[in-house]
Amino acid sequence: MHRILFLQGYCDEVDDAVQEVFIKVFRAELPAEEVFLGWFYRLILNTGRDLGRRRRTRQGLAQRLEQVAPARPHDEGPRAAADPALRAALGDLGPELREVVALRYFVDLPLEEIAAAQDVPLGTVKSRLHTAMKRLREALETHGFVHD
Amino acid sequence: MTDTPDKNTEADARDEGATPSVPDNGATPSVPDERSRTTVPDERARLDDDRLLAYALGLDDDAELAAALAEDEELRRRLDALQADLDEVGAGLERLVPAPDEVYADPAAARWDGLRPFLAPPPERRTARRRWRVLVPALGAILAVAVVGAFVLRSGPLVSQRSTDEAGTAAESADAPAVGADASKSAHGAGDLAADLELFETAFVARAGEVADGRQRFTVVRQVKGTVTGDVYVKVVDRPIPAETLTLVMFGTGALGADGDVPVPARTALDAEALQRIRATAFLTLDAQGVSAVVIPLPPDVDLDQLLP
Repeated sequence: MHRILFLQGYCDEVDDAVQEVFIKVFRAELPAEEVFLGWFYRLILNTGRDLGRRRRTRQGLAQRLEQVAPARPHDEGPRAAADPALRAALGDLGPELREVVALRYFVDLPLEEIAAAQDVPLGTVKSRLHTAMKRLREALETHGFVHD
Repeated sequence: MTDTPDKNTEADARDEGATPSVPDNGATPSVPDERSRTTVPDERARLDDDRLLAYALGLDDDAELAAALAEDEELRRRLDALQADLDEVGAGLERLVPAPDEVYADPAAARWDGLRPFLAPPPERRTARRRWRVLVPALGAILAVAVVGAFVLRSGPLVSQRSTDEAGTAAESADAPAVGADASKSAHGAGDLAADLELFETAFVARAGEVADGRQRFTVVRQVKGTVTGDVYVKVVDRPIPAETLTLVMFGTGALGADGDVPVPARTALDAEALQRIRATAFLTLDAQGVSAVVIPLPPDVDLDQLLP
């Protein structure tokens, strides 16, 4: 949850958002099990968006990513040298694209559940994921890290 | 919960640079349209990277591409390379957005102070006893002094004690203040009240207002704990507080409506048994969308500076 909210990039106070999600879940009338995942992640996404509207961060996401995980090329191997480009590409993605990436890569959420969480058609999710991964791959490519 | 439906789905997809091969209608995302097939007859151009990417991401089964992969080693090599790139992106994401450490989820951490009322284990006998050690003496003392005070005022010399139930009846009578001014100072002074307030996230002194549609208005006079301003409306469960009565109102959480006058769910740290007992005595519970609040009517001449911690 923390990573999703962070990658949304709306606000600085991710802990506040996590706390707010917890309280909302605690108070909510839980939906049926078959729709729970979509409901739960939509709650997370909407909480991040709402909090962002109230307390929008002044920092760009790339800058914040640099703060939480500074580049350590020597520790992480040569691949990490592409991290700045990847970081910048992430920052350039729209929040909706980052949400899809987060839900797919951090939570391994099925596409249908991502669609439910974002309240968009399945095709939109596919389109967003395709676009996001294409751009992130291009970021690697600019640093010569794509495979031939 | 505040839902924020995404109203820009189609526009988003276009703005986000969705490739023509990934339509926004839920249809097969990777198959180029008919025109591109006829105008670009080259097999490799037709099975371009966008289409391979959609396949690698599992966005589409793409039977045509699958068949081509079975026959074309070069195409398989391209797909493998693409898959390796995606793995690289995934590894990069893991590095750039590290998962919080284990300490992060520790409910005892200071960052989760606001969740403490929610994280508390279900009320156990020991917990209830601990709460009663705080509440019962305070409530009992207030009631006893209130009854004695009322009795003295009405009947002259002190002649007897009353049970708490009788005390409740007396204290709840509309005309008589529930707690004498002296009582609030001596029997429920700042120290006792501070202990009571520990159980709540929000507390404020308010002047009781009118009741309409089963809800009573309370105009905040002084914040004691949490942030509340303006008018607060709560549903009356037991009975309304007489209008103009100065009242101490306590909620389980500080989450009142942003505009201050919309009741929202609040959970009290008190367990149900304790609330029941309180309701049986002089204190009244009100309800904010199904969750109890506790109110203590104060005498009109109460010195808030002395009463409040």
